[in-house]
Amino acid sequence: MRKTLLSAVGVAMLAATSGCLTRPKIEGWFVDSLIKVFPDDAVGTSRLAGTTFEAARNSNVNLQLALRSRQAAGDLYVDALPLQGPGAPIESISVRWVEYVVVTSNTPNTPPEELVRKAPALFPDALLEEFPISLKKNQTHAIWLTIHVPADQEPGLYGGFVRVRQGTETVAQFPYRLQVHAATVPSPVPLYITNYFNLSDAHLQQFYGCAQFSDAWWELIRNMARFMSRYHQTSIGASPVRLARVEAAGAGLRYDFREFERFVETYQAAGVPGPIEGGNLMRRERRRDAPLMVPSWILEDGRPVLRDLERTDPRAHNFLRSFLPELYRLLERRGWTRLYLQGILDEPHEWEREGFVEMAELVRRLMPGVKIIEPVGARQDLSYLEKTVDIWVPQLGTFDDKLDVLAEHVKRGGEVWFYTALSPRGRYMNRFIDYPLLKTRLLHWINFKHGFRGFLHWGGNYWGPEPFKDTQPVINEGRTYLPPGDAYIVYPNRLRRTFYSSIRLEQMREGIEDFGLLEALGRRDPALAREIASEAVASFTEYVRDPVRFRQIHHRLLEAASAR
Amino acid sequence: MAKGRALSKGGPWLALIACGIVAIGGCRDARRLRIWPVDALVKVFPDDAPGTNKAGDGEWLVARNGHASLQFAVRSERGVAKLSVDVDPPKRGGAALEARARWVDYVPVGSNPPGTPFDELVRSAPALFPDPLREEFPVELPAATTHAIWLTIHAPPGAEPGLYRGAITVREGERRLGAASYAVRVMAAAVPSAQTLQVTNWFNLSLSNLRRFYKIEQEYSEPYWQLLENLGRVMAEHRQNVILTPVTELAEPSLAGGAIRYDFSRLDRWVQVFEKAGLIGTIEGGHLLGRSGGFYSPLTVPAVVVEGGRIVRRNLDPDDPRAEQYLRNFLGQLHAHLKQRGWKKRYIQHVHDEPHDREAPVYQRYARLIRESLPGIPTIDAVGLDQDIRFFADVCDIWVPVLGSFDHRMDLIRAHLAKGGQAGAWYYTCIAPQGRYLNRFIDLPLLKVRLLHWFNFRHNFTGFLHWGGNFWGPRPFDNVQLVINQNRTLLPAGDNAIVYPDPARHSVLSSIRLEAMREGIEDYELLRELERTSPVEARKLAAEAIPHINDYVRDVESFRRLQRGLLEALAGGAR
Repeated sequence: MRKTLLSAVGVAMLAATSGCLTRPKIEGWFVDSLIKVFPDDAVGTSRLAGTTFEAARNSNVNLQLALRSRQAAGDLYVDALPLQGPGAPIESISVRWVEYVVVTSNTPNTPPEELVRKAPALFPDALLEEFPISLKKNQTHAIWLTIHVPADQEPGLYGGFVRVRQGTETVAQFPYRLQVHAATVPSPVPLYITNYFNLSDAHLQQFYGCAQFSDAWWELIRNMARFMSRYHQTSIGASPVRLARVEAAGAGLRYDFREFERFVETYQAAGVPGPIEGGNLMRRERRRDAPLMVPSWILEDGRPVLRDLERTDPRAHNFLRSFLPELYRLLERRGWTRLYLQGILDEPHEWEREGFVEMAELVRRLMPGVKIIEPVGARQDLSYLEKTVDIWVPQLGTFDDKLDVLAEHVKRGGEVWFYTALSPRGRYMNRFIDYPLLKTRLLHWINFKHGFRGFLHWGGNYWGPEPFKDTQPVINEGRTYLPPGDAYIVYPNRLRRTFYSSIRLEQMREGIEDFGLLEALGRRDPALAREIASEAVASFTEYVRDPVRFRQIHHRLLEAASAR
Repeated sequence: MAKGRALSKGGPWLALIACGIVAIGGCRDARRLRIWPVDALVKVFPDDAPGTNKAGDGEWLVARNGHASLQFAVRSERGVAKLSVDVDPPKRGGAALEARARWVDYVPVGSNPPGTPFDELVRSAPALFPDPLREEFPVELPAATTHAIWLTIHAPPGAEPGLYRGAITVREGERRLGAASYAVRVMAAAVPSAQTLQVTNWFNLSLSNLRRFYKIEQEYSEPYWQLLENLGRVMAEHRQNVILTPVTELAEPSLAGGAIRYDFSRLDRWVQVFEKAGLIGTIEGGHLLGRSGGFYSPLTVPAVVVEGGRIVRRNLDPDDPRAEQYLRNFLGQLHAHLKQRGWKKRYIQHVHDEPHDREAPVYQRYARLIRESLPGIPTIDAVGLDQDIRFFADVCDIWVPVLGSFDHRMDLIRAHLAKGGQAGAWYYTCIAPQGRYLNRFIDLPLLKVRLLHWFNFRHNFTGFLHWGGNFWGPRPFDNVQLVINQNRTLLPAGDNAIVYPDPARHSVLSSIRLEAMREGIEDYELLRELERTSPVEARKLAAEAIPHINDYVRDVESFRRLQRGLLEALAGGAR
């Protein structure tokens, strides 16, 4: 998306048509989808100078149209008519509207200029799908258009318009154009993406009313998988410990992995290829002296129960020594040993190294060939991870001066992804609701620039009771108040048993597709690809902050990736 | 305190000072600081333009042995980096009243209580709302932001009635930025020294809660007890006189000849600490039954039992025979201890919080057991009256129904009180009620908070209970809406706490809501006092303030007239 000479035409057409056809007078103007629109934005705030947008083939591009009316206006529908141009009409245009959510306090330790606005305030985030909508008097809302450009789309300039109806009567029209480039996003994008999802029975019962393993639950899982597949999620978060059906068998236990298999198959059928992330074998409270616990199936009063046992508890050892070999046999039988990733603890610290190393060595012994993955803070001596962890997932903000250590790991045959969570903050990128969307998008430019192979985030759907009203859950046994949006990037769509997207997730997807284009270009002209990436991201804290400048860089990428 | 008529004696000079508030702006540089009085029942917001809600010229009223809150809004377009306030206490001749200035801080409210009409709210969330009262000056006044200075006046019991005059001066370092004068009239009416209204806010005094905010490494260490004393003092100053006491946790069990003996030394220390702080009052024995999870999960009995020759704490099924054995043994020893200490008259015992009819059989069985084991000691429980309460009615002495559940069940309460003896009725608010009822959320008007205790008088309740003393989240000034109930309930703003942590002073900070609570409690005692001599007048005033359960005076000026009426009636109609 960028300004072009054609944009002047677009502006003129917009001026001629916007909101002046009939009552109520709906004012509308396009705003870069990297810019957040607020209820108090006056007419024309952040108006784009041009309305010609740009896209690669096999990509998804987001457009944003701000709407405002001096009178309350209800029963409004927004239609995006097919884009016409040199090739087949582009039909796949989804229209959603941006819902505001509450940010009570800003992300701490962040300079004001790195924030979009000061909290408490409403911030745009959720993308709702239901129409008609109402515009409150003098409150701006944004319409969000997502255009999917097919891989075989004929390049060229396409045109169309967005129509706002009140009931059956058209009340405003907004023309725009889309320049389709020859550049094509590779399929699949060669980047591992994982957002963790809370699929616990209690959580899904609360938001969807589905009991685990019921037909409705499987429908929900299928819908979630399909949804995440559309956003390039590759990981299947499937915990065999929690998905196993366990029965008493004499003095021991028998594990039935059929639900685990079905879960993986459901994700794969939905287009999420894997890896299978099997979760962590140990857990603990987030405090230094907390013991490492092993969620273990044991027999109590003749019945199998899942209990957190201290790792030194002989019952925990017995569980692992019986469970892991059985799991391994299943993985071998299904040909999943290279697809399955085992987590050990999640963010281990040096003072936990003894327990961590012991557990990793056990996995190595009992599950040969299975890779171990671990998110980790890199501000510690990482030597204990060299042999114990295959996929290092360091936290952004902890490895600015450790790139050589990460490179050594890759040289040894290891792999590096990275993650963000409630840190980093400050001038780093992250995906909090009160941060500019450009920070979210550029996360994957970091991936390309540093040769990382994946991105991990814990906060898929860890909702509090009111996900729209309170975007800052408290975790760690009441000790940590999260920055806005850290805990989730989708919203519950109970009615349709799926998720609502967010504008952050949309920009994540575009960033992943940017990565795909950079990779494609890099195969042909690595120096140019690196040069373009460095234009956008000079360092971990120095990167382009101006959407207009970013669009210029993006345009350069599209043109470079289009060249033959 | 009430806005009175403009002063007519003393000529223009006096009038200028008394109403004061030297003007907007006051002093040398009018552009630098604007200062104006706002009724302390009106909330001041950061975006209030100079003069917003400026109180009329006049005097503020205070009863003897009572408190009055005054509020001065300040604003500077340039901001003041280090703002200090000097208080010239109200004086009359050589006598002075006590006066203390604090700074009203803002907290963010993310969302308003659902189901509450907009006209019942102070403003729409998300927004900053005033609540905590900071003790320390200097403070920063950000540019183009309005804040409030909160002045608390206390008239000693022996203060001479009449008009007292004082002033506040705002400065930055040595530089005077502005000033405002004020006048307080001490009325002849006096808040009785012995408080009749029972008031409890529940406090989470567990180590895991407190250590997040205070330097306390161990439960029952000296810093722990010191904090309790400091907190108790703040609450006693605000007329709390009942403290929820976790008796089962405070009692230390040991094995003696195969039986469990309890050492009550920590209970004794607890009581002594809160007595020293001036709070006790009444010892409110903590709940003896619990739930295994959410509101409709099975009941449990947290018990001390012997397993493998060792004492352990277990949550027992109520049908486990060890549960009753434990309670009989524990309560028997507790009863003997209370008797020995002479505390039986000041002790009340909870059974189970908010019992509902699904819990009826277990509740009834255990309530009877507890009453048998603690003869002469009243049982007390919070309960919703919007259910069949036959299971509750005869086994609970002090009913504490939640406001909003008894609009049409006042007859039940009256019948209960008619039993006499230990029968009593308090009431409570918490996450409920919402809508048009009184409550004390941060986004509700302060008048609702104050009227909670007019409500007590109006409907013959003799106590008020609220669970939310200090159930703080990790950042109490940034997050005033906790999530409870296994991630199922987002609380209304401020439901969880009415004080804020003050680690620097090893104490707690008050809030403007707590100040309004105190003045409401003092109103209650004055109404009771008036009832002794002029019951019709007292009842008439209360009915004017609260015609019906959710119909009450919402206009601050009208309330001030009623308050003046109350004070003047007590003074025999004379000022």
